[in-house]
Amino acid sequence: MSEARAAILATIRQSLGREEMPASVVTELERGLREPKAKILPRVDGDVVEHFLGRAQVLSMTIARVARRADVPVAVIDYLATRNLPKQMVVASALKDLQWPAGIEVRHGATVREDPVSVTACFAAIAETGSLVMLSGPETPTTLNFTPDDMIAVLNRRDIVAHQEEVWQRLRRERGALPRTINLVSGPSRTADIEQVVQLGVHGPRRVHVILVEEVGS
Amino acid sequence: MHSAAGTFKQRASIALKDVTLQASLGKLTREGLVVRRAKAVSEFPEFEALREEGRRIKDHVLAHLDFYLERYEAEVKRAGGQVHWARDAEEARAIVVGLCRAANAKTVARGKSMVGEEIGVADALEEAGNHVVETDLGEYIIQLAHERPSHIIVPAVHKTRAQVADLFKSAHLELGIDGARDSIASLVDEARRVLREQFFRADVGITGANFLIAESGSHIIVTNEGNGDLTSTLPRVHIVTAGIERVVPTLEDASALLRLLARSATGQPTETYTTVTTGPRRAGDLDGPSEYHVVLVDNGRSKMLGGEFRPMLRCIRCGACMNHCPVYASIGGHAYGWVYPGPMGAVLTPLIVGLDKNRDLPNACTLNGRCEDVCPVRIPLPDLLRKIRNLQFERGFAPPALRWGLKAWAFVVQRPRLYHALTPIGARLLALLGGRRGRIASLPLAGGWTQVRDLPAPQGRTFMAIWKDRDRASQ
Repeated sequence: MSEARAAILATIRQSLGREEMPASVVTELERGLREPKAKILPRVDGDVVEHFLGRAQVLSMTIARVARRADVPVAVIDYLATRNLPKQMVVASALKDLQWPAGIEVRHGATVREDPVSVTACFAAIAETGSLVMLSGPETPTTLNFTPDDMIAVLNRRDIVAHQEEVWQRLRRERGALPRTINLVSGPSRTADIEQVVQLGVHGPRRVHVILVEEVGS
Repeated sequence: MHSAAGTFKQRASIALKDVTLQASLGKLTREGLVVRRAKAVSEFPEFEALREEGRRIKDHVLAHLDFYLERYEAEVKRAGGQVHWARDAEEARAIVVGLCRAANAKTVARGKSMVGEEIGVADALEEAGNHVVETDLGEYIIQLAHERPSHIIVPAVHKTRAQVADLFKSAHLELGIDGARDSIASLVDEARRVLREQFFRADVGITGANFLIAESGSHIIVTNEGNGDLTSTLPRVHIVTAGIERVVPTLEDASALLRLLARSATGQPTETYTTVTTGPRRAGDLDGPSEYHVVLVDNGRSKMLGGEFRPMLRCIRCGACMNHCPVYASIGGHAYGWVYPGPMGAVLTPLIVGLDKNRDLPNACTLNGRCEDVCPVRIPLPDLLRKIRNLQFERGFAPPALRWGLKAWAFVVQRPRLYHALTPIGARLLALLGGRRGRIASLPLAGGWTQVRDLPAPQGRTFMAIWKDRDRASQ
């Protein structure tokens, strides 16, 4: 279909009333791509952590705060107990170092249909919108964000930023190329497709639980 | 998809008598999306400045569209994906059907996409023997009802819960799924069970794209349900269909437009899921599709770029213009007869499908300007509608009565003496017709008016005559 490609590009140039652009314009456009600039940003007042937690709650996420990463398993078990959920879950390999007590069934990897609970790790979180930032990869498979009924997300306090633009910058700085998928998750799956009434848990998780790890080290 | 907009008037009068449709449209404008948008905008003082920024970003892209498309394509390839170009709907359908055939697909899952509706991808796949499943709840409902979306954000806004329950009952019987169906929650649950099965069974997932990112070769989709993500994660092959105008330079540009889109569409600061996808599954990944294809659809857009309708290509498909349109609020989306309803549809449909086939659409507008006031990228919709009316007239697509009427009017009005000689005669004639009641119940060539209401008759004298009298009296 390279014929179609050539035809479309030719019509575009014809519509714009020019041939190829002069080199100086191209250089300018290239620079714009290399040095992206944030546009007008909504104000995020006060502490970004508190702002994020406030937004997350508005979006029907639940929050638990733990002092250290080693406390995460206890918080997970607490959550399962209060919701009467099976002690059976898929944990992202990124959290392989966590020590689970006996009687908890933990598998690492991607989720399949029957897995009711996932525990996964956030790359970041965005205060402005209350969104969790999840990256795809062997350590944090994407299915963990979508197929279980309950998604538990472990978030480090230091990874909370004000706006999504900071996430884009951090990704460029730390990784160069983008991962296959970046999921900004802002609460449980929802729909208002029947009579415009909001209903949670249509396709993705019915509940999203955030475990905020306060420690700055590690 | 075939357009049926030629019968706009019939559809509109049916819609006006549809009680359930009127109730859901009333809810949409009085307590639904319109109210939520107003609240979201009032909580975001930078909104007006951001609208200007949004307009600027899109105008910049359109002025350099060839550059950004070529860069986008190169980056998709670099990430291991493939880009296909389609000049029109037919080419786009052929590409998608061919990709599904090559993948040996049986079940194809679709995430809601307006360009997918525009090119009629679902029907083409069904004809080619694929089982197509709409995964957006609203789209799934209208698929079961064999209807079209009546709104670009809430496609089944015209259906009641009872109607949905009936559709589920007959469709899910053969799957052995039965449910209470006595609440919206139970209906949503039932759809979740049925569609979950399909997500895992699907060989190919097809979604649209809200934005294409030139910098990285990514596409962005936003959903509240998460269906787009299951569609693009679980099947072996992912196909993205997108109009060529979806491209933006960088993630930062997309961020600015996402803030406008979510607030304008549903009144949320963000939708639940915003997903940036770049190419297929990577080495070591445990999930994600192994093939990633993008079909770039022109279908009239590259031509639109050249003329006075270029601003229409700024559209980010939020639906705010229809939510705020008194005509849409009265007749709903189906009356517009094609995939794009409301003001944006009244402009786009004649431009894509043909000026001659959609004579009524640009005229079904009061030019009140609310659509332009709420448009997040400031598209001058009333102005564009007026330009389409002009084009229709110039090309002779306006109805003969209107054409000759306007010609006669123009002839007279450009000759003041003739005009002043004729108007008293006309006024007196109409006054006579009005009789003692002063109202005219039927008038040749004005049936559209007099069928539903009387025409007030002039009092028998013209303004100029009265003015002259007053002038004389005051001297």
